[in-house]
Parts: sequence; structure tokens; C-alpha cells
Amino acid sequence: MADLIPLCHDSTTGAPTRPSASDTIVATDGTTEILLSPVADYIEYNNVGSGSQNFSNATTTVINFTNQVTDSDSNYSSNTYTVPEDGHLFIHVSAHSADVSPSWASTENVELLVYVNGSISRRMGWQWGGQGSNGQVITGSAALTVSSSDTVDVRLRHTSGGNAFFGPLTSDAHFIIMALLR
Amino acid sequence: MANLIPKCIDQSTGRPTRPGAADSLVAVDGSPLSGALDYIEYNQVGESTQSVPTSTVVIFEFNNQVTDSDSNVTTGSNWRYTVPADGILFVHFGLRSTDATPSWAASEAIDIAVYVDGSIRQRAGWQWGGQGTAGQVLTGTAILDVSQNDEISLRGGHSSGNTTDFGPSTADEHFITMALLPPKG
Repeated sequence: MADLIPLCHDSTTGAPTRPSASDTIVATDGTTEILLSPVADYIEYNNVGSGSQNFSNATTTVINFTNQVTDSDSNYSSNTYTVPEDGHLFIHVSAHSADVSPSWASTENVELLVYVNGSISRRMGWQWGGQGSNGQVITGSAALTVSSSDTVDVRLRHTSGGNAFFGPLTSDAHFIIMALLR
Repeated sequence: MANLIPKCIDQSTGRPTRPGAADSLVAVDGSPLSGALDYIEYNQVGESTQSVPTSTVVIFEFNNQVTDSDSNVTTGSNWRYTVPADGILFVHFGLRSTDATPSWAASEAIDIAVYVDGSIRQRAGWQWGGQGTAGQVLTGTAILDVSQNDEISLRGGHSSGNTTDFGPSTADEHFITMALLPPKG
């Protein structure tokens, strides 16, 4: 890996030059900025239009996000994200539950977990009690370093004592978003 | 539209080359040529507490500027961040509340979401019960793809049955930060 200096032409004078830190690299129209983006990938899924997912008590289960909003390179499939290149992955997840037996006791909890290559990587959230009559939303975020071909999924576990249903509800309450930075 | 390979000079050796997948493009002084398009940080230090009645959705105000070099935030009752360019926006916030009647019941909640152009986009926090005598802090995160001129705000409410005050408290408890990165390359 090396640091490379691109060879450019000044769009005003036509003279060959090398960019300084305050310069902008533009297209041949002289104005459209060429963005050297650190964002290697961005995906967004929710579960709108799908049925609720049933999570059994005290069982760690992969969350299904089946409705694609953005995934131009199709890196998310079968509820698993396959990392396209080495980088730093930012994950944000929201899971909306509507438990069949609301008002969880203060000893009952729900966990939101990130797994990489089948092993737990981050515990993003661990929420106790709550669960009003309209359900609850547990959100979590994680930032982690990943390698090309790593597989990433998000799992949920609860101890409500019975089955708990999560999603689909609305796109603002039940979703997964990942941004891969170089 | 085509994929273009730039001609480059290796900064270390001075030799002409073309970039490999793991290389970085830099300026002649070694500065990176890619990075955040914008970064803003506001809190409510020195500003007024915001009183929020029960079951009312409000726009949260962060009127004390820490960083906003391009003045993309409009403060006040219609607080908003106007996106200067298409990109991926990272949002992180903390909200400090102090209820006049603390110790909320388990059925009482605070519900916060990120809005784009006045419509809810991501529910960033929904917290039940809690609210001790010193209040509570709700933090949240959002990641979203945005377009130039989108207006971003943080809105929400609570169901405590009373009026709850938010902020100003300290900069570490009641704040909002946003970083805008270029779109996927």
C-alpha cells in the first residue's frame, strides 16, 4: 500500500500540475467535482411488507430484513452481509417488537447482537423490562474493522418467557443500515 | 459514464504508477484527498431549557454552536440541518431530560426520531420507564443516505403525563453531531 499523487491539469490554465490539499479534482467540464469517497458500500433494509418474525424465548435468532431499500452491489442476501473489501463497518439496527404478552417484568430482557463469521462481535443493546402496550423499540450501533468476505448478521435474544414478534411495522422502526468505510 | 484510472506519482519513490486497490490518493503534501464533506456539532449550553408537554412531538433545539464552519444549521424553534451535498450522514445525539415528577411508570416512554423534510425517517430511541430523580439521558444514532438540500431535524415526545424539561445541562449530555461523507464511490 502506497500514497499516490495523481497527475492533473489545471482546469483554467491547462498546465500540468499536482493537487495541493485545498484543490478539487473535477471532470473535464471543469466544474463537476470528482469525489474520492471513503464510503465503499452502503446498504439499507427493513421488513416492510413482510410478516412479523417470531422469536422464541431464550433463543438467539438471526433477524430477517427482507425489504431492500439500498444495496446497489447486492452484498446483503439471506439476512447476511458479505463484506466486499477490507474496511471499517458502521452498523445501525432498530428492532420493533409487539409482544403477545406486553409489560415485561423488570427481570425480562432483550439483546441485540452483531455476529461476524458466526461468532459474536458486539453486544449492541441489552434492554430490561419496559414493553408497553405498543411494544418497544431496541436500537443498537456498532463500529468494527472487517475483512473482505467476512459475513455479518444481526441477532436478537429475549427472555420474556413466551414468543415475541418483531417487525415489520414501519420503515422507521425496524431496519438495518450498514456503511463500509475504506 | 466510465471507470477511469488516474496517472499518479508514488509519493515515496517519485516513480510514475497507477493506483492499486489498497493505495490512497493524496495531495503533494501528503494530505488525503477524500474525507468528510461536512461536520457540525451543537449543544444547548448557556441556552434555555426546552419544556415539552406530554404527548406532544417537538423539534429539539441545540442552539449553542460548537462547529459549523459552513453555517448549515438553522437554530431556534425550527432547528434543522440543511444538507449541503448528496452523501451518507452519520448522526449522534444525547438528550438530557428532567421531569418535574420523576420516576416514570413502566408504561411511560420517551420516543425520539430523525426526520427528513418533516417526515420521520429513523426512530433513534424509544425508552420506557426510568427517569430517576436526576432525570435521564437518552442517546441515539442514525445513519442515512441524504440528498442535497434535505432538511434534517431531531423530533420526539414523551408520555409522562407531565411537562418535561430537556437540556441545557452540560455539553456531554445534551448535544447533536453530524458528519456528512461523500456518496458510495
